[in-house]
Amino acid sequence: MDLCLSPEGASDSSPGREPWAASYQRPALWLAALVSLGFFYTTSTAEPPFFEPKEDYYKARGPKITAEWTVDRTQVPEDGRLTATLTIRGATNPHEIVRPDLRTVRTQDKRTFADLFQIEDTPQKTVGPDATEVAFVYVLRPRNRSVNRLPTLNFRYDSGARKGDPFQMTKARGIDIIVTAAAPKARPPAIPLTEPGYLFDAATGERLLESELYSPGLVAWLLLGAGVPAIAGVWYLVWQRIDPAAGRHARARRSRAARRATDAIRRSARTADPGGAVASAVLGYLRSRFPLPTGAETPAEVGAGLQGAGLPAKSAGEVVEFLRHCDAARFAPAGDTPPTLVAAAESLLTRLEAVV
Amino acid sequence: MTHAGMILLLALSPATGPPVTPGPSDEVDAPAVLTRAEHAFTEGANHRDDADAARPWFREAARGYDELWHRGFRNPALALNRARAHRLAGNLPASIAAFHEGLAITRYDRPLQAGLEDARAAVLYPLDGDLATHCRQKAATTIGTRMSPVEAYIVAGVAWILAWVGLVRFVTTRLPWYLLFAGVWLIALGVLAGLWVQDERRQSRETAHPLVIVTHETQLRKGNGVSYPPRLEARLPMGVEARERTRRGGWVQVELAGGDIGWLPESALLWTVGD
Repeated sequence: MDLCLSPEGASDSSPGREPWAASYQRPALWLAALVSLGFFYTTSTAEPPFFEPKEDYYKARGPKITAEWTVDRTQVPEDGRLTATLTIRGATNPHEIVRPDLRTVRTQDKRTFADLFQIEDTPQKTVGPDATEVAFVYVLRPRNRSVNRLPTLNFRYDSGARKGDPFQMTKARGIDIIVTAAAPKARPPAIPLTEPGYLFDAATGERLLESELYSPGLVAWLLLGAGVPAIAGVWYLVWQRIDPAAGRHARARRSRAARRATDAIRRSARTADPGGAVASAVLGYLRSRFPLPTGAETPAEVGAGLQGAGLPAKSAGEVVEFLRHCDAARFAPAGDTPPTLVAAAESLLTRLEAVV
Repeated sequence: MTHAGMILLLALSPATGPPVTPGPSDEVDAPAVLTRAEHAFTEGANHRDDADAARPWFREAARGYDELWHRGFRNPALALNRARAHRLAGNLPASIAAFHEGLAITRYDRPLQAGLEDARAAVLYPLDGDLATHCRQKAATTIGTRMSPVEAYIVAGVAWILAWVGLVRFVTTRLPWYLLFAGVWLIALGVLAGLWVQDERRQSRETAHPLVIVTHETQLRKGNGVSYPPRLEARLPMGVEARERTRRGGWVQVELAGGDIGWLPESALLWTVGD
């Protein structure tokens, strides 16, 4: 019977039917028949079924397979490891069973094993085709103390039954576990501070609460600036009041000879022969300032020499008088006291400087 | 330079911090804060063999000293304690900032100067390259860092007195070397005044640009954004000091001690107060 139909639904034998339809439809029908045969062949033989379960199926085959969890301990510290073993028995193809990846396996409460445990990779033993059982070992670390059970694992297998669903389900029943507190960790070795030792010294006490640092202000600076000149002025005034002739003495000291003589006169009090020292100082001054004869030693000779050098007679007389006073002080039992001679000598020098 | 001019310069030039009075009373009185800080510092020193245990104590001490400082108790001893506590707490930038804040009020304080130099030496510059030469600050050596205002007052006063003694002795004795003596001391006074003026100018120049300290390793860039290329190849380590020039959009233009100018993010900088 020819089943080819024209686009209008009439058979090719119908009057007016086009012959092109038969050329298209025949190969398509053959192809559909081949696909159907292939499908029935694959589903009716012992080869792997065409539609395998997507979940919980690990390629295990056998009429009656069991799965079981065992653990090395039921009490594990929070940071400890739990070794769980999944044992599959009754499989006819133990060497072909795929190890369940617990990282993706869902538990009954729709969580994965990985939500409950950190799963560490462990090497697996291979088994031969004659093995009676196969065991998968997992090292699990509970994520926290709320984990109280190793969950049940659903395990589908191909029972090979020809009637009904060939994929049966067995379960590796869960095991209650207790996660205890982690043992206190040993502290790592202490590392000392390496900063310099002086940094560990700190000042203490009330001085840390001081808040004002003294610093001389404008008044202090003005006081210093004006006060010192003022004190200097007072010093000068007092100096003038004590010795009215001090100014002339000072001017007299401008002469180098007078300055030397004055210094010698002032030092005379500390010598054994003050009168001689004063007379010697005055005579030295006279020799440096006036061209006295070499042999002029006595007061009269000195006086004559001074007059010869152009000194007024009055001044020369004063010099002679002074030298005699010096001699008297040196040799007379009760002569002038050295302070009187010193003052007289300085006064004489001042008068001579004024004349010169 | 006349005497009056020198006096005026000496009066105006010494860089002294204004007297600071403590702030308003706070919840905890200052002695209690001080006691707490001292206790924390002592505990930290007692735990110096264990850095993990010691550093929290030093952080606590630094907090206490900071609080006192910000309440207005500003003196060199407290500044030194602050800086040391920060350093031992592991906060080198805050330590350097504390040294600077202490030196802002007592620039002549030797322990603070030595501490700052030591802290600067602790900045971890890379071993290769010349980043350290770009960044390392030189210690200031002006007279203000060597002499306190009180010492300057005493030295100037002695020189001034000796100059006048020389003058008066010259007038009363007419001996020329007294005049020379007075002149020497007046010249010394003038030199001292000149050094203070120079110091004052330098300080004014520095304070015109606030000091900033890098708080964590960061890149100096040519512009105010991460898209700009680096100014220097190496990243600036924490503790590097720089002077702020301007700010823009969360970035700060800074000048390093070596003269390099670039931009750093504000979040990577710590400002010193009172520098």
